[in-house]
Amino acid sequence: MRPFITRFFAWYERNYALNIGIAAFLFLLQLVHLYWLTTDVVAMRLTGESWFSPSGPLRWFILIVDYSEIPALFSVSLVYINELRKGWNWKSALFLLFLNSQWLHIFWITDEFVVAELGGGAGGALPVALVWVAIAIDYLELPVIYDTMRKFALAIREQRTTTFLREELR
Amino acid sequence: MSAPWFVPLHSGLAGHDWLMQAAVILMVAGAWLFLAGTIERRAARRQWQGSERPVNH
Repeated sequence: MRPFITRFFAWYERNYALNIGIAAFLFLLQLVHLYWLTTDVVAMRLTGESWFSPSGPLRWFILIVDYSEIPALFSVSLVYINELRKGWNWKSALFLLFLNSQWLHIFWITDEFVVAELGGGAGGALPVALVWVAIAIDYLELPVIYDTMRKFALAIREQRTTTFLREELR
Repeated sequence: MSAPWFVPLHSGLAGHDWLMQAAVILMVAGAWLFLAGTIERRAARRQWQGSERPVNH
């Protein structure tokens, strides 16, 4: 198993620009989900009216973004696992924790429950306070999205990405 | 054995389709591996061409 992990991260480092680029792109897409959550679900609860009711192609786009959340969590987790592999640091550990707390939101206190509770419907057997825990978990993505974009920008500055664009994708 | 508090992933807009989820994961993984494979192949070819380059004496 260990040689496989070593080989995998050697590959990961060789293709760092591509790997962080894919992670940043997939994670940036999640802002669409956060926009929907804020302007539709949270706004409805706080002001009594929705500021955003997607329909047609926009609704489908939001659905596709929702389906890209699991690949995004996986790809961005790899970024921080790779960081921790090089040496322990609290920031990477904390961001990995923020990121993977999403699984609680995906499998347990889901958007379905949040929408049902905030929309005044019957949410089920869970305490209502968990709605705000689910929303907070979603917003924990924001610092990690910022940090992933910063890492991608750093990779560009270090010319890892410019070399990638110049030589690999010509 | 299903717990009443367990509901699958949902965006609040439509039911979550796990077949669609699997398709999206496979598409992302496929595109990722294709790009990485292309990059590695091109790098290997460049290295090979570099070793074939005539040396000026």
